Amino acid sequence: MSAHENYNKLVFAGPVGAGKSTAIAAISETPPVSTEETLSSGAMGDKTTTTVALDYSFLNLEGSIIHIYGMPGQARLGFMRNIVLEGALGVVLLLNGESEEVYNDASYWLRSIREISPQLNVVIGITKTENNPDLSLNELRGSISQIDPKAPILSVDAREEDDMKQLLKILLALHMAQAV
Amino acid sequence: MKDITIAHAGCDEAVLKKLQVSANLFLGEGYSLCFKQWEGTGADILVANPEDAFGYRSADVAHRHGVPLMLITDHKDQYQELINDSSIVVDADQPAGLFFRLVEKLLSKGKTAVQNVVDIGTVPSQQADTATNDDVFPELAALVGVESAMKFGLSNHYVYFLPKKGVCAAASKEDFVAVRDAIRSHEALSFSEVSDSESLTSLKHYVSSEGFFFHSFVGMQDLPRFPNGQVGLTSWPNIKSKKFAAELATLSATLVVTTCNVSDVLESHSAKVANALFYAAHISGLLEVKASEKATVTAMPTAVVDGANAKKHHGGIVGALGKWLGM
Ligand SMILES: Nc1nc2c(ncn2[C@@H]2O[C@H](COP(=O)(O)OP(=O)(O)O)[C@@H](O)[C@H]2O)c(=O)[nH]1
Ligand SMILES: [Mg+2]
Repeated sequence: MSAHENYNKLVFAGPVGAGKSTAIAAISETPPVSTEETLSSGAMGDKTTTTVALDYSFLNLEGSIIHIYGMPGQARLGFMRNIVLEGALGVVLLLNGESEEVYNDASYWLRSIREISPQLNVVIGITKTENNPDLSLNELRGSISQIDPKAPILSVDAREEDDMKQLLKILLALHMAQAV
Repeated sequence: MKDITIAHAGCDEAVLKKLQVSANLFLGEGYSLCFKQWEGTGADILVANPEDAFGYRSADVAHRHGVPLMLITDHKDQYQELINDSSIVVDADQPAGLFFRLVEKLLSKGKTAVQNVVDIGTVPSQQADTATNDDVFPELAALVGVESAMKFGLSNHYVYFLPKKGVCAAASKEDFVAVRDAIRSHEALSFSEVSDSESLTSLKHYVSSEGFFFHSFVGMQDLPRFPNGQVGLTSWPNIKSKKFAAELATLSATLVVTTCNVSDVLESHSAKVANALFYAAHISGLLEVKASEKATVTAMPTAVVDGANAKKHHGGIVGALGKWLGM
């Protein structure tokens, strides 16, 4: 275990609009700090304001501090990912279940994370599934089968604290199973 | 080519025709089927219509002699006395394809029974106990291993099982609740294949299939114990649950990386959650079942089994997080 691997960090990753800022707010006692920037281009569809930099929050658990980061979704900020991921207890990868790109996003993001850190525990949360009756959970499984076929995938609502806590429980269970 | 005799009793023309079509399908599988009216013995399977007097009497005899039985009726609840582990109930208006699959299921039940008798003492009891595709309760046997969409439920409430997508769908939440309650109370369910032309656009409510079945089973007072054997998960089950989140996470984390003995798991975890998970994963095609003799017997890693122990090993941050999450 390197000095950096102190597991005091949780990272929320995923494309723009997947629900990262929402998720972090849902589990935080105090409002998260977001460094936001308005995207002037229409490349992100009808979403006018989006987070292009980090979300940050923390949990103070009886004196133990866990830092929570929302990892920027834009490719041009990719270099920050390595820094953010280092020493993390795990990554919650949120994907927008409403988007047709969700299958591609799943493989792209999981592969990106695995390239940076092959051992890092990842749990995938699919948001906004209620808006997409065509979503195939098995196709999602198929889209990660070449990368990490048994990575946990859970349909969630990023606005729900309980759902977000369930994702964290999965990360913790993976961590414990790995540590055995 | 293996010879199989299917007897029938009290069935109408339409059913006989469908059985004939099934028989042709079996030819492709290297079996030759012989069809004849029930004569009391000598059949591998009896297909009977209990609403017919001869059909009922034949079914009763077959039932008592352990002959696998397919009951053709819409009124399952009226013939509970004929229903056991080696019987299947089906509506007369089901397509031939379903008849074929059900005959297949019944045949494998018959085989196990025969094997158990003939090979008693040489077949390890574990192997005889090992879950097969038919070991789900008889009520839901028609869903195991299906590849195309199936609709199941009560006369006015249906849930659609869409195995390709890995989801269950319904037109309303009430449909989910009604069918879930029917499963819990072993009510008679009807099954039908969803034709390609049937529009599914009215189905607005979706949940992972393992989620639907898990929540149905975990609330059941009398869920049978999952058959013994070695089991593992082929994919992570997508089951949203506040109440059982920690147990599901711990169980899944273990079962995706290793196969475990069913009894060991049931003893070392919440048996209610584990048992419901086994069945839900089995129907949803996520469970890998291995005969015990072939499998490497892996005990549950102790630190995973013993949550308190695990916490001791991971003090500090991880321990604090676990405590916060209630794990
Ligand atoms: N229906 C639904 N809306 C969500 C969900 N998660 C996030 N949202 C909404 O989606 C929008 C984008 O979420 P945001 O957290 O900003 O995404 P980010 O770009 O990943 O940080 C917000 O309006 C959220 O309220 C979800 O699970 N279901
Ligand atoms: Mg954001």
